[in-house]
Amino acid sequence: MWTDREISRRDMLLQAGGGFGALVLAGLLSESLSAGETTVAPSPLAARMMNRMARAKSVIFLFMEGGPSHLDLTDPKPALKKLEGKPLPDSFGRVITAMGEFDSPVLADQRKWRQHGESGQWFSDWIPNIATHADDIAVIRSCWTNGINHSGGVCQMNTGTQFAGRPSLGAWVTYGLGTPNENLPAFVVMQDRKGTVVNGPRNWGAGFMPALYQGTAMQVEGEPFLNLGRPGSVDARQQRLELDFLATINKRHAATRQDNSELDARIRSYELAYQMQAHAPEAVDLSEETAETQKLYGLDNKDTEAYGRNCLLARRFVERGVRFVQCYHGAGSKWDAHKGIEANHSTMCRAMDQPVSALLTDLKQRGLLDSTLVVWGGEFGRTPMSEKGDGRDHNPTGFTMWMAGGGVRAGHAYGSTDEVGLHAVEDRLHVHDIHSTILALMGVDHKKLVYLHKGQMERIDQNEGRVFKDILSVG
Amino acid sequence: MRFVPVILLLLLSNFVASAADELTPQQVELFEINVRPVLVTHCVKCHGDAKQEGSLRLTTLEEMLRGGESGPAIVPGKPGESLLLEALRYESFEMPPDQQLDGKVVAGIEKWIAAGAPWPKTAKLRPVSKITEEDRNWWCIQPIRDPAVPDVNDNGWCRNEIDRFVFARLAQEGIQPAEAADQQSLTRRVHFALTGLPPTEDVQATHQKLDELIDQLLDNSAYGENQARFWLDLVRYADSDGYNADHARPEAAQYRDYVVRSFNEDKPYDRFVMEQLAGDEIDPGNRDALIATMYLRHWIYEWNQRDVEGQWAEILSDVTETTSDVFLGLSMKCARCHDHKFDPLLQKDYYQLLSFFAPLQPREDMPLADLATRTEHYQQQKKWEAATEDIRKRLDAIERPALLSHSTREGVAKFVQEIKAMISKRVVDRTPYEHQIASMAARQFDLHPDKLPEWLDENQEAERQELRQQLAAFDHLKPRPLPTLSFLASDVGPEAPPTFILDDRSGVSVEPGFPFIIDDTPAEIVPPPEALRSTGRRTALARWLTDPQNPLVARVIVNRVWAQHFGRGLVDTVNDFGHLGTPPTHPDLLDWLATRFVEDGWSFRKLHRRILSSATWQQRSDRPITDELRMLDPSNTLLWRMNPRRLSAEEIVDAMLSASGELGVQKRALYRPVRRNKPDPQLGLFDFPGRIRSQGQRHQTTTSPQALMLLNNAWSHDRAAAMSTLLGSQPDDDFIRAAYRRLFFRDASGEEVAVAREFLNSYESVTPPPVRPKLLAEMADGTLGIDLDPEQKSSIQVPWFDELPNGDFTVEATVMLRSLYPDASVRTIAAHWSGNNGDRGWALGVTSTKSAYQPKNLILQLVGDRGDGQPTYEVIASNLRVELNKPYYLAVSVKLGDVSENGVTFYLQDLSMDDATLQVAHVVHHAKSEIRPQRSVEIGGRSKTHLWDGLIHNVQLRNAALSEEQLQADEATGLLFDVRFADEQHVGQDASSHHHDATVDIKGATAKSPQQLARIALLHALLNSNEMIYVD
Repeated sequence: MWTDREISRRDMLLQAGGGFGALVLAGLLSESLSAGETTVAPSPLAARMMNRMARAKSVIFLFMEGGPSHLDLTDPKPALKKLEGKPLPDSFGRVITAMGEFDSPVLADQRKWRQHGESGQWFSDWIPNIATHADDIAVIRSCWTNGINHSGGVCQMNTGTQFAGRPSLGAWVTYGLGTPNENLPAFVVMQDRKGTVVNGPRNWGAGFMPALYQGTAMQVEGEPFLNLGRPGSVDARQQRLELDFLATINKRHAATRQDNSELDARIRSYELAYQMQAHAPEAVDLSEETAETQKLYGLDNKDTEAYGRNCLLARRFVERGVRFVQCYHGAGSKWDAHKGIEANHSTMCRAMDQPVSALLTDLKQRGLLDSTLVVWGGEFGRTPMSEKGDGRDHNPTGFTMWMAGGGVRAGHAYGSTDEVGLHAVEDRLHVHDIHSTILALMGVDHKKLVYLHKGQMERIDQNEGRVFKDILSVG
Repeated sequence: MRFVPVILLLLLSNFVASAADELTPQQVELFEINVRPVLVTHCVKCHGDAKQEGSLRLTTLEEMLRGGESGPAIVPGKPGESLLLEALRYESFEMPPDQQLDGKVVAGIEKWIAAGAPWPKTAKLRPVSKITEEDRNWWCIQPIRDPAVPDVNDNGWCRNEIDRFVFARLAQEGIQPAEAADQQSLTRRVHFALTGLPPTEDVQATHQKLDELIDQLLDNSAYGENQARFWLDLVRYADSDGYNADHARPEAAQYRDYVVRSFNEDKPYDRFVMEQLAGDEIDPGNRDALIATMYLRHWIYEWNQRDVEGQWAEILSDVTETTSDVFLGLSMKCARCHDHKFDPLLQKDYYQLLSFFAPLQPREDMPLADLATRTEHYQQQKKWEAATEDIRKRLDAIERPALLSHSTREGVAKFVQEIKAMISKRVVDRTPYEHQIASMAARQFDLHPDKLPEWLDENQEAERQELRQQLAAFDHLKPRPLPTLSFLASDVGPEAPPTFILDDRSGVSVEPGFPFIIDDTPAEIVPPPEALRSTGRRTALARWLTDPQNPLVARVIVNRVWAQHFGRGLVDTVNDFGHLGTPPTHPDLLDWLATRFVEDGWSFRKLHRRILSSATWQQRSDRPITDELRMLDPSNTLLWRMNPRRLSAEEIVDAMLSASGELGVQKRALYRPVRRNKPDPQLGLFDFPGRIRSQGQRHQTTTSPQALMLLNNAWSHDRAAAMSTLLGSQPDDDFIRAAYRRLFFRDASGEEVAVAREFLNSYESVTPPPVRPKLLAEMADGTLGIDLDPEQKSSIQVPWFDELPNGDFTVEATVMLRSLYPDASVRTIAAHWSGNNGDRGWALGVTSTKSAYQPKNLILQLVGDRGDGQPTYEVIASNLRVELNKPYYLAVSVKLGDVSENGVTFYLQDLSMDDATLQVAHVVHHAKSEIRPQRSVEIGGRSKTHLWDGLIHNVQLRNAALSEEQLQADEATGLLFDVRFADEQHVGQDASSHHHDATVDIKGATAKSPQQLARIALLHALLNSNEMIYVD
């Protein structure tokens, strides 16, 4: 249990007093309290909660930044054809749209829709490769969020709220489950292009929790992580010598300060850094992959290469125990098709479809899909009403996300939107519910994953999330 | 106002259940015992008349059956299908949200549903208050006492009263405190504690008394900088908006500097609070008091948020919550939506507090003028407005619609109807709230009055011009504009907009007030003078906060300062004095300190002095823990030793800059801009907060990314290299000792020196000699010289020293020129000059293709005083020609005072022929004195321009004018340096005995020797060490 201050576990219990706090916390403590106060502190990246019930050990969150259109990919609405060119009937209710063009006529989709797999799930011809995994995918058509614009929406999909300052989902997972491999970051973030993801690093920040739990961004170019490479003037032998010397003087310093476990932790952090320096380059070395695998992910094609690389890296990371991987596609709101959705989404889908499909294929054939939860979606969907004639505005009130792998009951489409896909109506899942469900799939009870901050038991879902149990294949 | 905990009347529910005809007594009992108390206590607050969360109301049976968004709450007779039960069991919803009800209680409800949910016909439920006797005994709302200082039998350990409190508490447990730390540790500790900087070595020499040192450091301006850091975390200071665009806030830095200034002035805390909350109301003519109100502007802001009202509500909440966090040490955040779960803070309290800020108006045009001036201005403005009201109204009717419909940037069209309507109104016709929203919206678009003539039709334009003329006729009534400041805040006007409780549909607004449990008397709001156009609400809040009777404010701030110095507050949870926080370890000491703080005029300096002078704070930190101590007080909450401390992010950066001698050249880390979306990578890794919400205490993490950054990032290597240069070339052992003294403020032990020396040796042995491009080349006669290529922008400099000539001088050099510039630039051999004709100095070089002095001419450029006190530029041309690709010896000898032909003599000799004659030229010059600038001597260029292309073998400088004979004899007269480029291993070394070596900065040539690299690595390791970033 971490809090604003690093206090001892015993303090924590005392501080929580009896009742509620103590119960929750007792559930959290993975070690007995009799361990004593001045033994070496456990690694802060050790698991706090057991995820024994869970199938999913890692998450790969494929974030389509800018808001992909559910109406053109996963949620077919024949009614749009009928209403095409007409204003939306008042019966659907009025919403505030980001660009203020509410009264624009309905825009029908131009897709060919087909049912796929034994499950017969509907996917459009924009994602033919993903469609081949229909039976491994659980489509959730009834998602909704509050964020009407990108900044609020992306912030909310990551942290649960539109307003800055709270920890991201990946940070919560890292806080709760730690990592089995401290030679790599527990929470890795990638993006397909050099643009800035809306809000920047705040999206994978730790909010009010210690920075330890924040995501580590992979560089689009150059060394995989910041400060990973030795400076040019220092070779391996020289660095080892310096580290040995550093360890010597640090141990000497610690010898007369034996009760300060922080000093040991810091000595250890240098060894971990050294290990990470050795392991991270290996983890990202795609030359180890066969030509066949590289081709599968589309590394041989300039359209698919960038995201294919990320998806392949994601697989390599979860193979090595990385807990939470987030791959932004369209970094810098590139899915944001306010006008010309045909051109925009054709391009975006072409770059994304094959790599994502390859990831599912690859995870499955390696037996990793069961232990990896793949989540696909953006910060919101798009409106049935047109914008600027041939585009669609943001739609936070109803959109699709899909999940595959780790403990998901796949081959179903869950929930629904109204006749035109404006509002989620059946089995509505708010972002809080999505987060709670992802945690549940990882074996974490979102009600028990708490962090004491300014006198409040904070949770990812701000006490409002419900697990969407229908989608869980176990428990 | 009163600060005595109030006795509450429990508002019992209106028990008027009439005889329920249809119900049997058993059924009534089932309801009254199992249902009514549960619903009344736990449910109807949020699902009742005032609020209907999830559109659900649980006040009558009908409402329960109708249910809310998720369907009926109960199905009588079918507990298994009743959502209410599911929620109470936390199976789907979790109700009540604060704590799951006892199983027996839930079973009672189940029984009632199973029995068909009998409900007395007329029973309608209302909520009861949750404040209890226990709440009223909450320690932190009790009045601050002035406890007697305990008498202790301490054998002289105590240094002041603090110690007697601490000693007495330790004595209760039978623990003895630790003895004082040694002088060196204390000196280092006190420096970091008060200035955030390490001590300098000269402090070591003085052996000053600690108390004197404390006073001296409190007077150092670094004290305010260090204190500001803590305050800026609390008020979430940043230089950018947050949100996606994260626009810069250039004005915000004025607030940061104001905070530094305030601490350095030892501004009383009550005044500091007053200024930040209400500087505009209490002291409108005081620049600092106005800048202080930027406190009300540090919220995150999304410049293009269409939901203007939603954003404004967030802003007010943010200011309210921050104010409660900062001054009261209570988090009000969750009371925004419901009564606090753990603390007796009501939702109403939240909105009463918010109500003080409800009139807030961000200002970019805040007048800076005292009350008299403001009043005069206001009266005059009123006169003008009254006289012109009709004209302006008519003008507005013409202009406003056109302006709004042609608005640019985000434009008006993108807002919803309601907001457009507010924008369309004249300011005088808007309610205060409408004006707040309209002016927030107006930040998103631009209007263009200059284009009105294009947009208006002829008649309108004619009328407009007519009206404008009429208006101009009243210009004599218009007051002169007052000076203004931007990025401030004041009120929207003397009338406040109403404040409503979230989701409360009663339509009743709340008035400003304080948390009920602390003070239930209404806020006394005194309207400020009319001319200030403000409500006085914030002044009222500030006065309440700074009232010495306020039980929280002094305790909270004293505790924060204590936590600064001990790493842990007397109340450990510095931001949470509530029930989930920890109670004080030394309640009497906290109250005693708070009382003294107020008594001392809210002086921070006195508080710091009091704490740092105590034996408690001066204890050693390395006292080993014994089994007994481990049992009695393992976390050292009772302070039987000092807590060691890791430096903050800023301190780490500053300490490294200080070690390398670069602090001053580079500013302290405090001054780095804080971008919310782009956290400073270095500071961020060491737990610098996001500055989005108030943070009273930073995390302290130890991570491998920190290690990677300090280990691999060029920044720390650069600091080590700079420090190595600073320590200079002394023998290894001296170098090691000097490094230890500078970094750790202590002498290295013999063993430490030995270990470090061994490291230097082994590092050197694995470090190959530098592979660098050959710097030298041969001239036709075999003379070696440094090969200079203007493309490489090389720089060779001899650092400034006192003896550089300011009178007679001689320059000699052996060179070979490869090319000329295509223009009139000069190929410079040596220069002691900026190149600016107004700056004193000289430069020796050769003219190029388009020179007015003809190409290849050996010249001296000279700027000196001709007797009029002014520097004057002149070119002294030898008319001796330097041919390309030939080695030459050349010299110029200057008798500065001699303005005859004998003043300047040039010499030139072609070295490619054995028998070439020495060419000599005498030239007149005018400067008589004052030719020395304060800069280094450059070789091969001046100010990195006018570069030499070719070879230079050496440059000699003398502060005497040598004759031909003296030159031929190669006398040492006046020799300052003889910088040579004749040995690859010692490029730029001074061959004279004066050690004025040149620094040679050529691409790839900076490669350092194995010895230098080993020393840098040593320093780099020491900078990375625990001793560097921990204070004992």
